[in-house]
Amino acid sequence: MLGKLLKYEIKATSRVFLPLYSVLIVFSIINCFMNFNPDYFSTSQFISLTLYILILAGMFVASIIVMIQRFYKNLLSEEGYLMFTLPVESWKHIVSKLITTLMWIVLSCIMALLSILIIASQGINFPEFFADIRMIWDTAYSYFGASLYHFIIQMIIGFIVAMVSGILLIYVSIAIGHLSNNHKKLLSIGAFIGIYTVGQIISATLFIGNFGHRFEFRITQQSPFPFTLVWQAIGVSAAFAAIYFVITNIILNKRLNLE
Amino acid sequence: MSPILECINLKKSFGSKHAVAGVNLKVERGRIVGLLGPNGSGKTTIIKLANSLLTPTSGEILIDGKKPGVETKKIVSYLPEKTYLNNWMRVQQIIEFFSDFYSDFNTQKAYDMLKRLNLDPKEKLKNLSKGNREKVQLILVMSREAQLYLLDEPIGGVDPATRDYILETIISNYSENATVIISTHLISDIEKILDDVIFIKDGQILLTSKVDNIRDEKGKSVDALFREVFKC
Repeated sequence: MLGKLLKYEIKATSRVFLPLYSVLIVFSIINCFMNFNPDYFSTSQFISLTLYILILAGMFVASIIVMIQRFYKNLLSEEGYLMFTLPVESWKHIVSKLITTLMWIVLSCIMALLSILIIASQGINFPEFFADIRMIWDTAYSYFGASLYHFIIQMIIGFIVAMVSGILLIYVSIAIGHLSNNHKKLLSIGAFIGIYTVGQIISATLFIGNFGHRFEFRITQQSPFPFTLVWQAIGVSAAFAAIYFVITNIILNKRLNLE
Repeated sequence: MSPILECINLKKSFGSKHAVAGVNLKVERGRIVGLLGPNGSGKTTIIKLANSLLTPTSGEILIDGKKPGVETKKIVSYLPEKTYLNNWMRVQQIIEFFSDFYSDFNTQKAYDMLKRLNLDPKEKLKNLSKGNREKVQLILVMSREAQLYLLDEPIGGVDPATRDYILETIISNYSENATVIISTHLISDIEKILDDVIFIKDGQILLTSKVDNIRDEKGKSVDALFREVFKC
């Protein structure tokens, strides 16, 4: 059932993102040809570059709006009458929306990188470019060794955990807002600010109080990165995400009061 | 065998308002039941409680002996009084959606009914008129081979000809052991298909009876009795 929910969630949201991605690529191609002569910056170049930047920003704003709108509209407004009478556990609704949002954020990042490469492509000699990247990697690897892999894996996991935690924070805020009879939106915003602040205070206390002494480290060939500290931060973030998830699920399960 | 729907001292309050105030009720299998009462009497609240769209303040509601959950949702086909159709699918896509999620969904039946009501499967849901949206929802709900149909105001927004077709669909489409609960205040239109009636007012059950008993013992139609009981 989770697979089916995902299928429809992706279908519903791809209507927004696929056209956006197409427009982004089209504008990067336009800009790529516009900027053929870097010495002369014309009005049309300025307009097309501004449009490109607006679309790029719009893509990330759209991710946030679609995330909120899908959770609120699809689950907690009239469409909820359909979604919550499907023979599906409520946690699967949360997970399907979470995975889909995460997927679009990652894809948006990839599209942003791709579009920048397209715009720069006229000025880049690609074989040379990749050779340079290769060289940077080799130099870094010769210095840091295997811990470079550790660093990259940590960055990827850290990014995903941070995103998941952020998305679930928004879900739990909307779910808490839903508990109010008359001021759902206001309570959602209040819940978001409140939970975010408490989360920051707790993390700060944890890191200054307990883990603080580990701030002291030296970049050496043996331990070039503060791995332990970052893993701890990721762990705390994951713990918050788990709490948000559980609360959201309890509200959807036991406190659902669709109007 | 447990009754298909049972309420045990069921209460639901919204703030200080008691929408359902201590309802005890048993609905047997194989019946067409009218849940009748004026606006705001608690009909919709009871139906939403049965679908776990609301949670009881106290007491219990059981479907086939089970609390509302994944297992009961598999056997309950629910028509809300609201339009829950999204704005991006076409009619044929929502049919696919239903057949994906409900194993008791009969796609052929759905297409037959669409054809009978002159609805285009390729039409976008958001372009349908209000009446046609209601028809599509009813088709989706009645195309399931469920054990309990909960129809909240199924005939409110459609024309009399469609009303007749819908009632005919309800009678002809459900299997012998299935129960249909219809909530409405348009009694005269549905009276002829009902087996039982439940009168509800201010969140409390006033009367439950077989329709035949009302006719035989009181010599009245359900509509006449309703007008008498709920006289303003």
